[in-house]
Amino acid sequence: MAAYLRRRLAWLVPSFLGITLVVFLAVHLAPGDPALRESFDPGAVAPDAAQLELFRSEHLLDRPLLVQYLHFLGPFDLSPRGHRWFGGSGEHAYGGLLALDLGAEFRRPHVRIVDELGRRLCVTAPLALAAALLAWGIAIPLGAWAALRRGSKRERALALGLFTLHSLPGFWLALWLVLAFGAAGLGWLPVLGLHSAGASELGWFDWTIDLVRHSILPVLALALGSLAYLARQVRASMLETLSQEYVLTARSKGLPERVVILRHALRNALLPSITLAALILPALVGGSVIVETIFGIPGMGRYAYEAMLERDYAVIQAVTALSALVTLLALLVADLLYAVADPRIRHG
Amino acid sequence: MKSPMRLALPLALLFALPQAWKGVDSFHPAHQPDAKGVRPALPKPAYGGRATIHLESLPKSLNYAIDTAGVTRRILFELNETLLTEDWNTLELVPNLCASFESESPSAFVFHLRPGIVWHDGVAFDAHDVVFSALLYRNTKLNTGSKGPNYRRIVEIAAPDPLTVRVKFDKPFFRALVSIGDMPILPAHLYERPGASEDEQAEFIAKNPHNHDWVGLGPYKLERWEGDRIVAKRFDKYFAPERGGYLDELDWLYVKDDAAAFQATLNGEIDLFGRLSTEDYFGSATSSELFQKNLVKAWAPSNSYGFLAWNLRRPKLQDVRLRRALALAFDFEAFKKSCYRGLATQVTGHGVPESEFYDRTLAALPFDPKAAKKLLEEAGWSDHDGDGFLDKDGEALKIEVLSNSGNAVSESMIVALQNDWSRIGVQLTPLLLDFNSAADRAKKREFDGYLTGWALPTESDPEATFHSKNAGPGTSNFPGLADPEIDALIEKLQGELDRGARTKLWFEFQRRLYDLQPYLFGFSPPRKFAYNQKLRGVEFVRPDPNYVARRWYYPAGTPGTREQR
Repeated sequence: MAAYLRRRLAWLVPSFLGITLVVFLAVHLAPGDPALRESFDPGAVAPDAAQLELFRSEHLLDRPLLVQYLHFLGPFDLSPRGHRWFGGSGEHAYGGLLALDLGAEFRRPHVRIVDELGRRLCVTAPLALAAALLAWGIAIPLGAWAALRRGSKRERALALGLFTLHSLPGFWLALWLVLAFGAAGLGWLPVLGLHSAGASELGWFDWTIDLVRHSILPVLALALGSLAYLARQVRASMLETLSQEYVLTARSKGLPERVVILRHALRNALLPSITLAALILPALVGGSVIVETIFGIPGMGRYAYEAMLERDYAVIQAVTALSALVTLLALLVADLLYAVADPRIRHG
Repeated sequence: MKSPMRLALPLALLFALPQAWKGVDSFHPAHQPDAKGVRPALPKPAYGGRATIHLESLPKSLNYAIDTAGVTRRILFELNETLLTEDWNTLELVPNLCASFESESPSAFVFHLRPGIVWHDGVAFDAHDVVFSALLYRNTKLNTGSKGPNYRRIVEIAAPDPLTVRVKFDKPFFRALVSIGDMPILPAHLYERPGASEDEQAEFIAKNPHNHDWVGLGPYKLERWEGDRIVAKRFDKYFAPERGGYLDELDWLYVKDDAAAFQATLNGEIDLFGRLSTEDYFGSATSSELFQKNLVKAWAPSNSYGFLAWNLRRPKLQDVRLRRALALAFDFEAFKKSCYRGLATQVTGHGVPESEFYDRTLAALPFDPKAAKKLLEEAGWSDHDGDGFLDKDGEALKIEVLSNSGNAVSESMIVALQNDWSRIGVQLTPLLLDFNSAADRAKKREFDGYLTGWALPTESDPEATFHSKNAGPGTSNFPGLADPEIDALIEKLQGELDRGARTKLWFEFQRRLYDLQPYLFGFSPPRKFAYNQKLRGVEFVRPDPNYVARRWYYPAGTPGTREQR
């Protein structure tokens, strides 16, 4: 097991660096100049050439790509204020990913990226977690039921419903929820943000109720998006398990059907879901651009998306590095859990 | 070259917008005129309550010195004040933070500040804040966008006493008074680092936490800025209580998606939504019972206009006959009806159509495809090869139009242009790119026509957009216009301090532009709003942001309000 762990960890580092390099190149080779984006004001003004140069120089955009990448990677700051070894003033010797210093945003120099990532994670992670729990909570019984009732009219109707749900575009589903539950429909729920205006003046109980009421629609939108896929996965896995000999043995032993299904079939059927469950982690830090945009939630998905529109290289690289790291760790955890569950894997 | 068509003023006014938007509560259903044309009295204002205003983008900071976004300025309209302010009706500059001002010479001004003004943190405001702010724009290490050059014309600025500012420019300059009068002032006690180098001072300003936690001088004081919501409370020590706010709290809420923001307005979560589409304004969205019961729809003229900039570096587009023919071949009226339902002003020159500097007597070119074809024939463009499209010297007449993708109006205009031009044998190739890619191509001048727009102050300096010194790549002179007559007019304008004389120069400038047609001038559509019917005192004004939140109130007797401040 230790050898397996070492092997997996050894792969993790080059994979992570490879991802950051690909993202770095993709971002820098895409059309659009962050300096121009920063200074381009469609209000009858010309970008000031000196200001453009200043911006490029401050963010090393006038240096070769390799220097820019090494600056992003760290641990040495290669800017004019950076480490003396690289011709800097020594004022800010260390920085970059390896120094755990992601610097400041291009568009808001007064905002530290680490601080903003923390704020956004506090918004995105609880929503994604609630949505994942809701989706799994519905998908497992639904998938198991569909497997047990395979071929029945009701199961076919459910399959049709799930396929329809799966094929609906996320933005459409979110807008439909707004129309259905907002004032234009039933008028039951707020449709914007996570708090009402003036929520800070409420007591903790009312504040929590306000938060829950605001969270219902975004959580539903997030959960419904993945529900169909998860339910179909559980169904397929359950069907495969039900055909296994140990399930037949359990039945022939005379065990009650409830015990056969819950203890023997369902538990084993959920094993392949370990990978899917582990992939919740990236969703916790990645967020959803569509849901966050429609419900006006300042989460990670929108942060990354807006940074892309603004060509804020520093933010894009930070967010993708974080997402890549969490995804790789999630896959590692999934593989390890698999290895624990299945000896054939750990013994290679 | 043809001389501009001048028509009688009453006829030209047909192109302008009606004046129904003017006045307090002019759109409110409870304030409509009766059969005799008399409006009911306005309700008595109460103090208290809050209003939430929709933001279509989130400001990067609240420090307008380093963030030139319109959205920042709109918020600062209530959170900060300037030495002078624009009168909503006359658009003239009137004293605000200063009690009076005078001109010592054509290039020197003295401002006498009002005593007793305090910043939101309680520190006294004085002349040093003004001097510090003016000087920081001269700091070449600080990214102040396009503001820097105007302030670098200052040769002398001093505060002889705490309530006097004396400023002198290098030479008479028509934007000099506005530059100082409309200058965003920063609290020196929070932004100044005495003895620091330009580099250090620039970094101190760019990374200052008060860019986020703004301390200003306005009738509303920033309470907190959390994620997408910016909350401000009424400032009790505001220097002009009679012009202070009625509402206790103003919230600005960023919602990127307009459809979601409109639904939230219907849901009562937003009190003013300023991006109502033409379709919604005239359609079922605003005629529903829910809307009619709770909301008011309104519009106000905007200070922006759209245009198609011709790339005059391309040989075929250097011929003014081609540019004029392409304008004659486009049915502006049909587009105005289909896209704006008639609620837009067709512009014929550079400027804000509602301002005195805009020549409203310049009539739009008529829709005349025959005249367009004739002009093209004169210019040598005919269908020589019989393929149905015009060509000259073996080159087909193809126009590549660059624009930002995702803008429904731009996309409609491109389709309409394509349709109309194809009828005279001109091919249009659309090039719709995301903002950055489009800006990149525009900067490198890789287009025949660039469909974009300007948002302008009442009177702008046209040097950046039309002077030959900015004709190179990377500037705002998209066409690359280099016309000695235009250059001379711009320079005269810049040196002319008399408003009346300057208006005449503006008219000459616009007529010359009309002759040259560096742009295919488009439309200035009004901004369309939906707002909470419970809010009263809502007046739409010409200066951006088109409304004055400090004048809004809930009528006396509304729950949660009070009679006294």
